[in-house]
Amino acid sequence: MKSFIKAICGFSTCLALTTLGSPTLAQKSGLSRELATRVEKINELRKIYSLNAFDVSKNISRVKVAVLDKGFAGIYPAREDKRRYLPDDAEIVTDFIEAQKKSFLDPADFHGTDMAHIVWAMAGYSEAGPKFRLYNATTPEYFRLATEDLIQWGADIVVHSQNWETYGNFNGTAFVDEAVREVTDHGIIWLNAAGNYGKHVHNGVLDLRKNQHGGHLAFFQKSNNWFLRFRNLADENDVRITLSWDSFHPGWEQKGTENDIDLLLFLGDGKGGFTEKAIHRSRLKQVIKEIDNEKETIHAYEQIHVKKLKGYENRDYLVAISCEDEATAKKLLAQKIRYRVTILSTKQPFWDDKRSKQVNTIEFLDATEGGEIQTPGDSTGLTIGDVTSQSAEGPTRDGRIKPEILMAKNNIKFSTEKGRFGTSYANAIFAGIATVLKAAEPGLKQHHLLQFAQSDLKRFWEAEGWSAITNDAPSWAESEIIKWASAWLPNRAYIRKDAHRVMNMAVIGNFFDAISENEQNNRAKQNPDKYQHYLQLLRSFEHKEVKDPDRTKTEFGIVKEGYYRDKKVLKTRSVPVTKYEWRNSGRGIVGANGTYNLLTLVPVTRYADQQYWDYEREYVRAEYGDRTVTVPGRTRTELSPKVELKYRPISLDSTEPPWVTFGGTPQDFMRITQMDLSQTVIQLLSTHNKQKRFWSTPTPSVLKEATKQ
Amino acid sequence: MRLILFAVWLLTFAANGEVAELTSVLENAEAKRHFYGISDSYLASKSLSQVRVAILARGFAGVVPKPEGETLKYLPDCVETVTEYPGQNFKELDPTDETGRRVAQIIWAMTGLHEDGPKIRLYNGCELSSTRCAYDQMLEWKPHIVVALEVFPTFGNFNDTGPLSPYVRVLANAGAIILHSAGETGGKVINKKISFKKNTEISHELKIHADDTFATITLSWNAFSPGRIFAGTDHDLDLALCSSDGKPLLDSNQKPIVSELRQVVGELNKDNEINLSMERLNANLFKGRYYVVVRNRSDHNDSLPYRLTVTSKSPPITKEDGSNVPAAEFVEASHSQEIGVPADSRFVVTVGSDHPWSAKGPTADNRKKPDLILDGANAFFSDKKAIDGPHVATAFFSSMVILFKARELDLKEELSQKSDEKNKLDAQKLKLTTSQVQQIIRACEKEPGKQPPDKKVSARWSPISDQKLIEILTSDP
Repeated sequence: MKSFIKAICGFSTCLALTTLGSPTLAQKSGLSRELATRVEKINELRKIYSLNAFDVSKNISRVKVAVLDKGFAGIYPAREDKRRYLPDDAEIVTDFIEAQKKSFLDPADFHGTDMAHIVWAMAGYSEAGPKFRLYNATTPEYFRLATEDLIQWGADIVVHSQNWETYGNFNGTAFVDEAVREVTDHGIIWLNAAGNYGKHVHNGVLDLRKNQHGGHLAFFQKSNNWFLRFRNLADENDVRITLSWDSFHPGWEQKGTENDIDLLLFLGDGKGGFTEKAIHRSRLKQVIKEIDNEKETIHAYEQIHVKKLKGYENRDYLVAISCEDEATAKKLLAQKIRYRVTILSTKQPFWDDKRSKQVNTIEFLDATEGGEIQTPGDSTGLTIGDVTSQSAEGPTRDGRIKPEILMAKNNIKFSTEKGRFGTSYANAIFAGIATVLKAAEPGLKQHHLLQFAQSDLKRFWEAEGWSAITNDAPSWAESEIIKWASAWLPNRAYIRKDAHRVMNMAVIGNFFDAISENEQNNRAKQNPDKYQHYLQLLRSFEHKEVKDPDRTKTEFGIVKEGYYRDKKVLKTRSVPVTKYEWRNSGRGIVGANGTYNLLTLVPVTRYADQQYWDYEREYVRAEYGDRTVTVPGRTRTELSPKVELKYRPISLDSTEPPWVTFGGTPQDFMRITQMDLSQTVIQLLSTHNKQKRFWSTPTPSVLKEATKQ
Repeated sequence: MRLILFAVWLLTFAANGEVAELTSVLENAEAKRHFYGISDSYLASKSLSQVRVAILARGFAGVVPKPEGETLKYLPDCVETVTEYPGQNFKELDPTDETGRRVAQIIWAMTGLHEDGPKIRLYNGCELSSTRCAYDQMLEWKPHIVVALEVFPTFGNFNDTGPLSPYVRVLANAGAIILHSAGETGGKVINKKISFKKNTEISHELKIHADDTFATITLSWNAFSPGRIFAGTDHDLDLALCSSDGKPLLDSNQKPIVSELRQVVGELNKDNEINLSMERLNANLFKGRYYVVVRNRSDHNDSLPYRLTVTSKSPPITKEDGSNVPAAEFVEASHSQEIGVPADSRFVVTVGSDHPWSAKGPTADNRKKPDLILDGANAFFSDKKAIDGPHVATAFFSSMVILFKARELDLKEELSQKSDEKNKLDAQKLKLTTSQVQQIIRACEKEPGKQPPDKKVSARWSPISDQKLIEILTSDP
């Protein structure tokens, strides 16, 4: 298995670090060097977040903060004048012996330096701490090695304000997500910036159609056209277009894929026409095993990077997805492969006199709503966004709410008079707060942070009538189900302490809109008053052994689509939970010590697919296909790719309604549907948007109380 | 010191047969032509391609050096560059400074983006020697208009004397209209006098508003001899930087930050000797107060004016009350007599803008400078970059002068083609010279006969009618 890991990530399991350059920034002389910069008005910022209320003097030196980034300019390489940005004992890890490919930090990039410095500033510029270790995370390989090291180092908090627009299926199963999961499984708080991807993403399902040249072009649902339009308003814009599709194998293993598609860029003429040939193209060959790494890749992605793209006010650029091979096209079509196109540029927004507002230099005209969280923002860490339209919105592909926390403050001004803003800076500010809270209460865990951010949401939920629900199993009247379905999504992590109940089922959004229009019409004709029986359900819960003794067992499973008799669909069963714990993936069991009534999905009517019925209570496990994978230092259970494939939506449109086959009336049944991702995203977002969760710093007593549990 | 050789590269934008793509064009050219009252008829001039324009700057990034394999086009294909002067060891153009290129783009856009003209030549004018060589070279090319951007805080007594003045004068006398930016030293200059009695020392407070401000402080005193020759001086001053408590400021190697060149007359024998009355130091400074110390190292019974100039690449700082201050600011800044060399020459038309960092006059010998303060000096490019200030003002005004020059050539041709002798005589009289440009400026003062509210401001621009222009062109210089 070690060689397997080696093959995936290209490093051996010996994780000794090289100390190229200067690993320790401490000065031997003992004289503290002067700072190169400071955060302006830091006291006001600390006051906004009530940080002065916490006594950190005792423990701040024990808090360990790891910052992963691609540039630590001013620190590595160090400044000529020897001024510093961090406490003297901060360390930097610039390279790894195990890394096959050398990847260097950008010597002019201050991003990582800013992140670490803001954390230190928020923590009060104390020379005592926190302890910093800075990691080169320029590539997924380095990222992985960094996570291994920070676990060994015993980091408390990880600050990562980068994302990749590929390397995974955006559902928390990417190999880099696994690295994050590894970190959070050790009780380490992972804070990831949501990224400034707002309105820069298109999600869809591949619909490949034959074109006149014999190849296949993807058609896009929103426009029913073969291209996605974006407008570049600035000359010499550095534009990066990334296509990623769901052919990544979940987990550590990077097996590669033969699902080979390409990315093309055309230029429209402003009159409905376009350039005859693509002006740029990315035609990597997707392969199972990479041989020629310039032309081949094991990753399901293509990327066009144009350094100085010409801007046009009235002409659109057209992004197309093509597939040359007919067999592959057929396969992809049958699998309903989901894809994501992300378009980014380096130029900052500018003031447009005509529109009298700030305008992005790139306008992605066919961007879809939400679903903008990338990798590893989709993992088990906390994803931090801000309240601007540039902040990426969730949910993840598998329906989890991200970002979990929105920061009202996302801008920083340094004493160099340089201002910076965006989700990275929101994340760094939040990391500073988390550092203070950790120093005040060393028992602080990631789930506590999430809890504090939900104070507003609690009020929302109570206003929705949830305060009336008792320990008793609810009467699953339709209205309750509707309420539950619509309320669950934004509150999936919410626990009512008094109710002692865990609801652990992914229910997607407002079901009225979730079913296609035709479907709604048909159902409405058949049973005009009762079509609200159709709930949209996705993945349910997970079951996983975790080595960490503090961790509880969590179940991992998949709800299959099909028809279910509503009265028996939701049953309760007792689940002993030894310790209050929280799975930030959103798929776990949560609860305080005691026995819980776990609501689980039990099909009572067989229909459409035999296996759903036969397994009864056990069907989830049987479908799952767990297996054990050894990774450095531990054994873990993994989701098998097979299940992931089966998890994909299955159309029920052609099947006979169960009330025809089995008798009864439509209102006796509930239909569970796995939606196309695009629909899912829209539905999730419509709920998600209404439920923004802002950070609110707890008082010391609330913090103490929360961390006691 | 005259140069014989120079290198000219014809810029081939359309390499390998690829069609070069025009990029980062001036977006507000039409609006600016309207603002300055330039009618479309000027753009249709037949003679525009005959107008030769030289631009001197410290950098033309994007054009020089031209990025390999790039097909983007900023300027017409006929643009030439003069970046090196073989036989001389010159400071190279700053590869990151695109000011010169942007100014050339403004000029091209304002004059109608014609492929065949005006003929633009870009000159390396980033320091004293290259500027002198450039002026020498221009004598051969005979540009009609020279657009000079680089203003030096030394190399002269700020009264049209010093080693650059003769070069400027010769070129102007050869018929070139030299349009010079006033420079961006507004609020960054101290003018004082120092006695050359032994151990005289004067301190000036310097306020740094932003951490990591890389500042250059130049001390220049009026000991430059007139003429091309560096006669040298025995009036020796030094420059030092002290912290707010008066202690010498140390660099990262724990050495004091000082400039202690030894001014001498005659031959230079040691590395630290110089025959220019200047000292310069660079320092990366942090928020706070410092003292710039001027020390006399000679022993004379006279006193001389000196000028301290602090410059920094850091942008101005916006204070909480909305006002702007330079990142490095002299507390006792003079706010007058800020015009540097050779913008102080009586043979150039010095153009400023109404931005606070545009240098203000008068000159050290109390002549009115800048000759023109141009309103509305802001340029927006299609790469969404916006620039403003005196360089941009100079670019806009140069465009107008270029169009006037083209009009002059058109009129000349029209009149000379007519059969009667009077017209032919009129054609010979037509000429656009520096003094006529000054006339145009006076004619275009917004409030003729009145000084603008700010007494240091010499003139503000308003549109000029065709009729008025022809009247000026046909008038006696």
